[in-house]
Amino acid sequence: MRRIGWKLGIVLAALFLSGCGERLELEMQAFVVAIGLDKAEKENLIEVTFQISNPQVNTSQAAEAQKEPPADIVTITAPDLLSAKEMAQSSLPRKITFSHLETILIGEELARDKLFKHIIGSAIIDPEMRREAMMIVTKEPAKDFIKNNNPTMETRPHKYYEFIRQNWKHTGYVPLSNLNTFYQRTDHELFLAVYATAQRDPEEHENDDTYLAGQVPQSSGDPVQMMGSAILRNGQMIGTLDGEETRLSQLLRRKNLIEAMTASFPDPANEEYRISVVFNRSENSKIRVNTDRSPAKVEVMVPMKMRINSNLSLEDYTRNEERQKRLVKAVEERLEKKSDELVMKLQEEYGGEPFVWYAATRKNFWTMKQFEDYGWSEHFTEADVDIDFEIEIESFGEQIRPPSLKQGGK
Amino acid sequence: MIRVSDGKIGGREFFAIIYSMMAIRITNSTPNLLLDSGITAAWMMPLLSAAFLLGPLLLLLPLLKKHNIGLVDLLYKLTGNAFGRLITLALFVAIFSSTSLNGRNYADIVTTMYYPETSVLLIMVVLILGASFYIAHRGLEAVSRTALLVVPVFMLTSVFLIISVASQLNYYYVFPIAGSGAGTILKDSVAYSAFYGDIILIGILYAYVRSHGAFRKAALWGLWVPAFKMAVFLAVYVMMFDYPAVQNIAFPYHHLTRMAMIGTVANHVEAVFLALWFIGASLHFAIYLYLSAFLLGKVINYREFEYLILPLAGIAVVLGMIPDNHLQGEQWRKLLLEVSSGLFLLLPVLLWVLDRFRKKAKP
Amino acid sequence: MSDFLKRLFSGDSAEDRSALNQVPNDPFSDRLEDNVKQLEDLFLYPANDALKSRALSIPSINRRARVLFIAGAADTEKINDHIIRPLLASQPAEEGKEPSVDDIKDNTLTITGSETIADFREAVRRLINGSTVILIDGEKNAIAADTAGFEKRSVSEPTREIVIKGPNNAFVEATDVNQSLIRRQLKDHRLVSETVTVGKESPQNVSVLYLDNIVDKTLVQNVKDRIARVDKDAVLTLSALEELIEERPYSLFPSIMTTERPDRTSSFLLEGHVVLLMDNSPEALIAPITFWSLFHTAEDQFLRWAYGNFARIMRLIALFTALLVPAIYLAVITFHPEMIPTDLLLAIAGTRERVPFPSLMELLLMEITFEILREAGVRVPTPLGTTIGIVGALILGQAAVQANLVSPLLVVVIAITGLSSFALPDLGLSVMVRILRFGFILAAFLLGFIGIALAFAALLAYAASIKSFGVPFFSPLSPHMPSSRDLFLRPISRKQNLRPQSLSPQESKRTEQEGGAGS
Repeated sequence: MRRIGWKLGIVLAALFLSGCGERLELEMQAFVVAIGLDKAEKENLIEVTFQISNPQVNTSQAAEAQKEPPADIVTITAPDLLSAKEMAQSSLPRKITFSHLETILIGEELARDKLFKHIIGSAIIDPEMRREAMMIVTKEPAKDFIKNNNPTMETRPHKYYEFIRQNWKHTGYVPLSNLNTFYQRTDHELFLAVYATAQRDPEEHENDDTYLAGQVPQSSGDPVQMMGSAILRNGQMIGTLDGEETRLSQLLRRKNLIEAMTASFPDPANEEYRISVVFNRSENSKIRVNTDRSPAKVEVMVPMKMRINSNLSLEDYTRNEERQKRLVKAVEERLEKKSDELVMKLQEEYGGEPFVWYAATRKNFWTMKQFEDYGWSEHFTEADVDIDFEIEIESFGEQIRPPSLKQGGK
Repeated sequence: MIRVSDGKIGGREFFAIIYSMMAIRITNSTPNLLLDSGITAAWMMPLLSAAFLLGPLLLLLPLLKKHNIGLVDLLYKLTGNAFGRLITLALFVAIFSSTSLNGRNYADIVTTMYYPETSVLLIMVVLILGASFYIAHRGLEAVSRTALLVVPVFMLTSVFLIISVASQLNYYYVFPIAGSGAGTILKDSVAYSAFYGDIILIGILYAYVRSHGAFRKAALWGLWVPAFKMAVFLAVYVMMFDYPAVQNIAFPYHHLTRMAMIGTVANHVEAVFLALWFIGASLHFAIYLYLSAFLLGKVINYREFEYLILPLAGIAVVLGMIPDNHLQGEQWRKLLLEVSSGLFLLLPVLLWVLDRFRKKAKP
Repeated sequence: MSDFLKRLFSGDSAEDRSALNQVPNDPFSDRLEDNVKQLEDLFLYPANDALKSRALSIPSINRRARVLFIAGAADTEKINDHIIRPLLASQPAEEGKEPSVDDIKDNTLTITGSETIADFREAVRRLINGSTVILIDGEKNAIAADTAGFEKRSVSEPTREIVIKGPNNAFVEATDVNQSLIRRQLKDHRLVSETVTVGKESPQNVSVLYLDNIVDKTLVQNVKDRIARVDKDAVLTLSALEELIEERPYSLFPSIMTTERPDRTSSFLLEGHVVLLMDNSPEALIAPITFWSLFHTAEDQFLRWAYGNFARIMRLIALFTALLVPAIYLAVITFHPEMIPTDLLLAIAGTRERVPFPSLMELLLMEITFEILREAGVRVPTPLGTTIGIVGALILGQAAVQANLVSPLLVVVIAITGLSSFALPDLGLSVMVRILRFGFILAAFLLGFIGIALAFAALLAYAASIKSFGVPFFSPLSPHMPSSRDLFLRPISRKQNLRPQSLSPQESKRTEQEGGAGS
């Protein structure tokens, strides 16, 4: 055995030394942190924008290079992502790699095009593409968005996307959308993607969350706004939801993804003023779908906890149970009304649901074939939907009662 | 001294051998076969397959105890020399071709998912002719001890992997509960029961195990634990990727490891799972090579069968290089599975009947 | 020449060929002068003045006698007080009732450990071991009295296996002191100490210690056979013996270990191991060892359960760090950049842009520099040497970074690795890990994580397959055996009551719990 071992060792060594093509030094790779996809002028071509991090800016003292931009932006027109990657190599000396790619931006024009599903469908075949990359639909072409997005503090783009993604969990203004969920809902189900823009078009609303990206009244700072969501169906964008609708659509799912969110409502005790509350998710929503009757019936129960953190009317809620009940009832009714409106809108305009209710419906069927024959999306458009919010007041903030300014003013 | 030099294998080591033979199947393209036929109910199929094999296993155990010899010797004893040799040859073909096809499958996974610019041949050679051959050549005792050292680690990492993706799972996705329908599931569970056929095959090592009790315990645990693990992972795949996307993913385990994140601390840990998986793979093929050599040695009456390991490893690499791509190999795998399922399900029954027959004929 | 050929073909055992056996096996004659002359010739007197003699006349039998001993080997005070003085002070006996040689030995000499001997070979053997030989005129027997008095240092503190809590004495160069240190710990009448000799030109005594009720007899026989097969002119220390009785001298894995702590030795004895002691070696050789013997320290058992186990967890982490971290670094940098957090990745990529070497060269450069510094540090004459070495490495690293020879993260990697290898308790284990590390670096260079995985699998298979005197390296973990479960972690003392079964002891439950030192 030992003599054979020697010969084998030589063979192995020869094989080893013939090499393995994978080895590549770090400095010879270009790390793409975001790609933008846009429709090109010519039919069936797309413009791919690569945002490549510059490792010599703001990374370590030893490597600091002055006067270089934090990222290099390259736009290539090509039939698909993979060939664009290869063509970009014609100008870049380093090898482009997607191993740190976390963000895919899609121009609205491309998202609304039939071409999009082919582009994104074939993109995932590349093993470098990661299914947890987040997907953002931009109002303007994605390449403009990338160019105009210059945050002051997060000069390195990957940090910007990383932080903003963490932030979403606390606002719910945008859905948490990654490629994995996108591929889960390629059929008739609706998929919500983050809607963003770097163009300002301010409007002023009374409700604090009925804006769409770009409309938020903000006057300085980074022009980028992410608010609301793009609705995709069959891998094609068909409309948008504003911030409030996006929040509701996430609340109506079985698993609420928003950790906490702030919203304001007209104060039931004094209609002039609004009262701001913080919602905390407590447990999963209960969804019951009855497919035995026609039209189908969907019952949703959303439990939530509420904290009162701002009380413009300065009415005393803490010691008045009657008022508390009225407040809870008013909030519940308002949420239910808004939800009903949202469901109605989805049923009539978009003919599908983004609430993953189809998964709850599958429970009613024995085999996959039966479920597919049933055709949930058609039944949804006619379904009776009954939404019920159950809200508990958890706390009233750090004051026992509002300061007595009001009485003093009299 | 030294009780250890008796060369026997204890119950735990034997369980570890069975576990490393079977449980690793969850990481190759086996789940694709099951998900294709079972859809959302694919997770039931491993459990059903295991249940189908339990019968033959329970028939085989008393036979082994009664004659107190390994499966191959039992074959020779009960079916006669010529016929026994034929069945042993069939067993050898089943196990060796699956070694070769699976080896190709693993190399394909590596080149598709991790090292796209490396040649399949290089991976095959370092895996099968390198590490697996070396481990197998250290002997059965070494294999069993190595298995016992690493199997607990694999079990822990499986649990860890599931925990790290748990927040992204939605259990509603496993509905409809019957998937493609009860009939299809039952039928295909039988057809694919060869996934656990190793539990019958492992009877050839009966003489090396310390006691009958240890063998029985290890075989029973070795049947249900990998089946259970497979069921859990199939359910997790569906809960993670949802139907129909899950059917389109070539190697769900490797996509799952990509999605795994340890809080916000580290979220690209797939290379760690890759390393652990490859340790498991080298052990898996080491056991298969050893068993192939053992069976071939019995067929051609060559006592020092350890010398066959090296040529067999070389042939496995060459055979594995024949299919152009892994989907071509897949068809052969499927065929092989269905044929060997029959073999493994019926063999113990045949032996049992022959044993009864002989008993009656004798007095 | 013919002698040599005869020996060669007859294949005599080592014992027959030893220098002692070239001494003629002649009995003493009854003439005192002849005997003395013969002995003086054997010791090359007068060229060699080691053999001292004193002539005297014993009053009780009224005959001349000679007291012979080797200067430096025997204790002259003992000879004066317990041999010469009693002999001279003996009263003349009545006629016909003169005491025999045995009577003198038993009733006149005031020293223990005297025997009568009858031939020259035995006399020489006794003399070189420090005994005093008393030749009496007209007698064919002589008395050999044990007066060994080699110079030795007093018992001192251990220098290599230091503990903060627990006994603090270490073996010295004298076997009898070492044995007494062990017997003080292990008060058991079944503690056997057999003596065998090793070395054919200059024979040395080796004491084989074991607990008769616990140890496996075949293990003892195995060890003794292994010692008997040693074919060397002189074996001076245990370390030399260690390599001679090892099963795999080329292997990186040790199969025997040494310890300088009597408490640790006792606990090994209690676990059924065989212990070898030898003069001139301030340590004990533990014969079959497992991975656990190398991994554990004495202190683990002295510290409370949680503290001891915490130390063990740290040591386990250190083991893997020392073995794998440079390889993992290389694999991650060149094959799997997705594993590094983006911030760190960009920092490394940024600094590496100015480094002229590929990562492998960079890593090897630093690794080898560090190993050289460590080797140099040992030669620096103060105990501070090693510390200076480490500090030197860090300063050198800093300078290398500023000169753009290496990237800063690499210095951190090398420093952590070096520190971890110092945390390993056994010298053999530590050196083994340091050598294996280069193998892993090569594997990582060739195939990234897959290379590391395959190399690790092969290493594990090798380690699991080797046996030390028949005991598998990882037993009782793998193969699994009922044991005290004192493996990666230890259970509380009360629950550690089984001896490792892999050593196939005769009593499986420990009946006593004394001397609970680490193993």
